[in-house]
Formats: sequence, C-alpha cells, structure tokens
Amino acid sequence: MARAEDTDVNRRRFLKGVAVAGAGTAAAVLPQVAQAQPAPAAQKAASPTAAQRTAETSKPVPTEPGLAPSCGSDFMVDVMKAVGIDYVFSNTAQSFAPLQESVVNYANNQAPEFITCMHEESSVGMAHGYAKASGKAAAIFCHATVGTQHAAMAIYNAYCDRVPVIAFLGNQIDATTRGNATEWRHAAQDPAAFVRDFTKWDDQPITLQHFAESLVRGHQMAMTPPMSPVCISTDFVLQSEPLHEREKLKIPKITPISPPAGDLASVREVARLLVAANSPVIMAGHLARTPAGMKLLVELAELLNAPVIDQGDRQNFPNTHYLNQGADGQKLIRGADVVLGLELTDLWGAVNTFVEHEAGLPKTKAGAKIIGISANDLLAKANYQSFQRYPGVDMMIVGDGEATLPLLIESVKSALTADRKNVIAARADGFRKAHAAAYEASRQAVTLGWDASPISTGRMCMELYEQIKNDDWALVSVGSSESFMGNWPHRLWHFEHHHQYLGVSGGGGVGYGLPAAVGAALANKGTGRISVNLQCDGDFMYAPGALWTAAHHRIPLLTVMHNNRAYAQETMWVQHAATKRGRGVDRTKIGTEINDPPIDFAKLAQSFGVYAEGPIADPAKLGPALQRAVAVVRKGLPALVDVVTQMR
Amino acid sequence: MYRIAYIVAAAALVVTTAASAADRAPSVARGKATYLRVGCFECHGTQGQGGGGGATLAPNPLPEEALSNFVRNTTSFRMPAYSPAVLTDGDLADIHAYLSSIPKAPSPDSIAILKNLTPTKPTK
Repeated sequence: MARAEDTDVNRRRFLKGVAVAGAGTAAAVLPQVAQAQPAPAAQKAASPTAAQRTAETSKPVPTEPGLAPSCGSDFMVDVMKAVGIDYVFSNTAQSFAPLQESVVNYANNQAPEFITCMHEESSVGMAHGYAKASGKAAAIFCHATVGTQHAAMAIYNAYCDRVPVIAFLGNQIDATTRGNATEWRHAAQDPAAFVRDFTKWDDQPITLQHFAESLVRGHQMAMTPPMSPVCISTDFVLQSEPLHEREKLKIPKITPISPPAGDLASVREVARLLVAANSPVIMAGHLARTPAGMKLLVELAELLNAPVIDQGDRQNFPNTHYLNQGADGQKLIRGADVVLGLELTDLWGAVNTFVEHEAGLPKTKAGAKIIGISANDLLAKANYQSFQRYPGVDMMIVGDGEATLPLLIESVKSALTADRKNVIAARADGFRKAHAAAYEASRQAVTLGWDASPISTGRMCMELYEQIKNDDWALVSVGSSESFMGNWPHRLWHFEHHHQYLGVSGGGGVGYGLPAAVGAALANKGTGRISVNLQCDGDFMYAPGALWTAAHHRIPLLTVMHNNRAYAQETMWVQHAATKRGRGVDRTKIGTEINDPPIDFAKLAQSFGVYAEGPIADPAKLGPALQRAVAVVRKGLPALVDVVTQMR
Repeated sequence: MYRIAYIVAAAALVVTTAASAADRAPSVARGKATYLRVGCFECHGTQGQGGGGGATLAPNPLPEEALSNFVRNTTSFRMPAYSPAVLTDGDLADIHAYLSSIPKAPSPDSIAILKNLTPTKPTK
C-alpha cells in the first residue's frame, strides 16, 4: 500500500497541532476508562472553524501513547461501538491513522479490534465472510482513492451477495491540509463515486455530529434487507481534531431493523395458489439470512409437501430433509404448476432455457404460475447488470423473503382444507424415496475415480468430511462455486444447520475464497467450531496474504487446497472457443495453466507461520494429512493441506 | 511445377495417413493420451468420472457410434461439437477404447469412510 512520504514537515506540524490543541484543556484519558464510557468533553467551546483548525497546527505533540486528549476519532469509535462493530478489517494507511490509533488505544483494540490485512480486497472479503457467519455488519478502513480502488471488486461481491459491509474511506477534504503530492493523490472530492454503482448509500460527513448520524443511518441501511455495503468518507481533519464539547455530541438512537415484507393481500393469494397446486416447487436463493429463515422454509415446505431446490446462496434448507430435491430440480420445474422463487438471483433463468438472441423457452408447462418474492428490486441500479433478466412472472412480491415467510405460512395454514391436506400428505412418500435414491446415487458416483491421481474432488471432499463430521463444523467458503469441486459437499455431507454453509462470492469476483473464509472463521473463533475452506488455487493467488492474517490473529481455519493447477473454468471456455472454430485445442492451455512452475502452497503457508502439508497427489496419504491438520485447527490455529486435484 | 507436385504429394500423404488412422485398431494407450491432450479430462475427469463440469463417461461408456454422434453434432451450450479437423475418427475410436477400459468403480460399502456418512453426534 502506497503511503505519503514521511518527509513532510507540514504533516508533522499538523499532527502535532491537532493532538495538542486539546491537551492544554482536557484531562488525560486512560484507554480503559475511555472504553467504558463516552469520552469526556475536551473543552467548553464552540466547534472550531476551518480557520481555527488551521491555526491549531503549530502546537507541540505529546509523546506518551494513551495519554492523548480525546479527539474526533475517539468519538467515531464511540459511534462504532454503539452500532455494534466488533472488528475493523484493514490494511493500514495514513488517511485513517488517527482513527486506527483510536481503535487500538482509546478502544484498547477491543470491539472494535483492528484486524491486520494485506490488501483492501482482502479486508472487504474478510468483512464479507465475517458478516455472513456472525449476522452482524463488519467494517473496513481504507484509503479513499487507492484503497477504495483495491477494495472495489470485493465490494461488488458483497453487494451481489447482499452482505452488510461498512467501508470507512479515509479522505482529506480540506485541500489546504494536504501537505504533499501523495496526499493530493490520495484525496478525492467524491471518493464513494467509484463504488456507488454497487453500494446502497454513502456519505461524507464534515462534522462529528454529522458522522454519528451518518454511521447510524449507514449501519441501519446496510443491515436492512436487501443488505448491502455502504461507504462513509472519513475526513482526516475530522478524525484528528480535538474533541470539543463531547456532551453536545449525540449518538442517535439505534432503531431496530424492520425488513420490508410482502403485503397481506398478495401473500394470501400466493398461499391460495400454493395450496391449490398439485405440483408446487419452491426455489430458494439468498433467502435464509438467519437460522430462523431456514426453520421457516422447512415449515412452509412441510405444510405443502413441496420440494425445495436450494440454489446454494445460503444454507436455506437441510440437505438431509426429504423435501430437498435439488437432484431432480429440472425435472420438477418442468412438471410444476406453481413455482415459488424466494430471493432468487435469477428468477428468469430458473424457469426459462436460454437461447442466444431470443426470448428463451419456458421450462415450465403451459399454465404454470410463476411467483417471486424478493427484495432485489429495492436495490436495483442501472449500470452493473447484476439485476438479471426481467422475469415476467405471474406475481412478484417486492419484499424480503425471510420476513415474508411468517405471514405466508400463516396464510397457507388458513387456506388448507381437510381435502387439500390429504392430497398434500400423499406427496411425501414419493419425495422420501426420491431423496434417498439421489443420496445413494451420489454415494455410488463418488467412488468413480476414487483412487485416481490427481485426486478426485469427490475423494478430497469425503476424506475431509470423515475428519470433521462428528465435530461442530462449518464450510465457510467454497469460493465462487461449489460446482468447482463437483458439488460433493452438498451431495453427501450432512448440512442441517444454517451456519454450516455460507454460500459463495455473489459477484463471481475471483479472490473471494480465502479472505472470506478467514473472516468467517474469525466469527467462529472461540466457539469450538471447525471452520473449513475449500480453496481453489487460482482464487488463492489473488490474496494469499489473507493466510498471514489468519496466522497473525490465531484464527482457527482449515484450508484444503483444490489445487488443479489451472484456471479450470477458463481452460474450458478457451477450449470451447477453439473447438467451435475448428482450430484445435493444443494451445488452449496458454494462459490458463498454473503449472510451470507448480506452486507449493504448503511452503507458502509455512512461510506465513501456518501449519501446512502437501502437495499431496496420492489419495492414500490424504486422510492422515487432514487428520493432522484438523488437530492443529482444534488447538485454535490455522492449517493448510495442499491437495493436487482433478480439474473438477 | 514443383509446387504442384509438392501439393499432390502432401495430399497423398494426408489421404494415406487418414486411411491408416481409420484402419488402425483402436488403442487404449493412444486413447488415454488423446483424452488428456485434447482436454476431455478437464470437464469429465481423467477416468471419465464426470464432476462439476461434465457428464460421467466411464465406466460403461456410450456405444462408440452414440459417443461419436454426440461429439460431432452436439449443440450443447457447454460443449461444442468437435470436427474431424480437431478430433479424427481414429482419435474418437481410441478415446472410446480408453473409456471402455476403465474398470468398474468399487462399491461404496467397500470403502470405510463411505459406509456411514451420518454424524455420530449432531452439530450444535
């Protein structure tokens, strides 16, 4: 991370000034005391004007850490505490140095704790994973310009994945405080503009009271479904200035989140259609924001004996439940008379077959009713096309799926007659048999290539499951898609709890896997839970420094490398193009292989201080290596096993 | 003149080679090498086991004619048709021989870690 050269006299004078401006009037505040209560008033005076701020820059600075008077960034930390921010994920930088200092000294590096990251994309990725695992918003600090640009891809992932991340963008608004060329390059008139297409809201507060209201509002907006990242430009001068009249600063009341839900009339009509249907199908995407969402979906599905196709954006439904019918999903959609899509990313694609340049072909039979319940339209923006194709369905309720489920369940119960209950009950047996058959088919299929080297993805996943299945475990990341490892976990592992799977990146931006896993494992730290990361090699190399963060902060995480030594997906697409053009495939590995030289991930991890084994290409050696690695994770430390794998 | 002669000679060589390829007996070793060289394994696995990218091809592959018909004429979004210029009939026959040679997978009941996948104690 580039930083301003430390040769600037003006910068030092400025820091001295802001630190001491209050020193003459405020008592020293020990960190422990400051943590327990809001910072005391520095002095009884009106907030300084710009002219006063400038004048303050010629006073000496105290040298003892922890004895600095209360300053703007201390109050910012008070607000962060008030909204419940436990961690700040950040790659350190000058533009928020005062705020970082307040976190580590004034807050005693507890709630929030500063998590040292090696790249802004990693910071956001970790916040992303942490938010999904903890159910809380997570914060990042970054430079307004160069940091935000590094963070942008990960912010887009979080936006697409509907995850609350609060990005504090360190900025320097007042041009007359920028002491050198780098500070000019690191300042922006509108720093959030760069990511505004894929954040819900942003602000650039110019007073501390403004900051308090912005952060409380931003936190509420981030946490209200559809959840999303927000940005708050955090001015360096505002962070640095002495805190005048703390008692006049008010942190607004934190209002409980009330998600938008479907209206009564529409929900009752959906219930009527579902109860009357003979072959309803439920599809779930970003539905279960909380464990309650999963329980509600089980209740709805059981009331209707409706099969559920869980699209893998969250653990929406237990894969061991007889109504989990993803294996027969396409067949069920073709035969459905009602399809209910709950928080689907792509409702159109769920019920239509893509035909290039054409309107597409419905998968469903004539007369089938297609219903959507989703908050997606509340966050649609024009530029980035993540809003997907217009679904053109029979009913579209714009409201949060999980928040709408209680009303839908009650409406279904009200609409159920004795006759319909009998019809619905008769559906169960067929689904039980289909579920059992699909599970057994997967158990048979995973043996194909069982002893192959490179190791099959099925063997890798099952050797791993064998080591963790009797623990409290969570598959915290699979990168951009579980299909990269053959979907074996959800075909054969037992996912029965919401926390056991967190979904994928959202935006498909590579480099999500490892940082998100580290963040999620941090959320699980101290619970005894084994956090597991199935990690693709190409994705790993975007942000390997995240593993150092896991080592540095003693975060228990087992990373199992799916090391196929290629960008496998892209290998297939380049091969696809070459074959379609009749040019042969001999050269299609150029640019897609990661094999010359092969990366030694174990050595890389070991260099970060992480326990690691590999590369392992002999399937017989995999189980014992995983067993040793899990033992390390049980002790509270990260571990990595590098598995040389088949492409998929 | 020389150029015409060269083209005729080259054409004869191609015809001869193609005829040889068509006439030659399918080879498992050659089939495996071709299967790996042209990238079938990327989606279908080195032992035809399939996975997240492609269908299972082995054991018990499609009959050679059906396999060839699919490879030549598929309109699948995910897999383009392979023309004879990219994959000869001989190559296809070799690949089929390789896929046919892949033995039946073991029963999951013979593999200790696949016998019982139910946790002995539930996750919290």
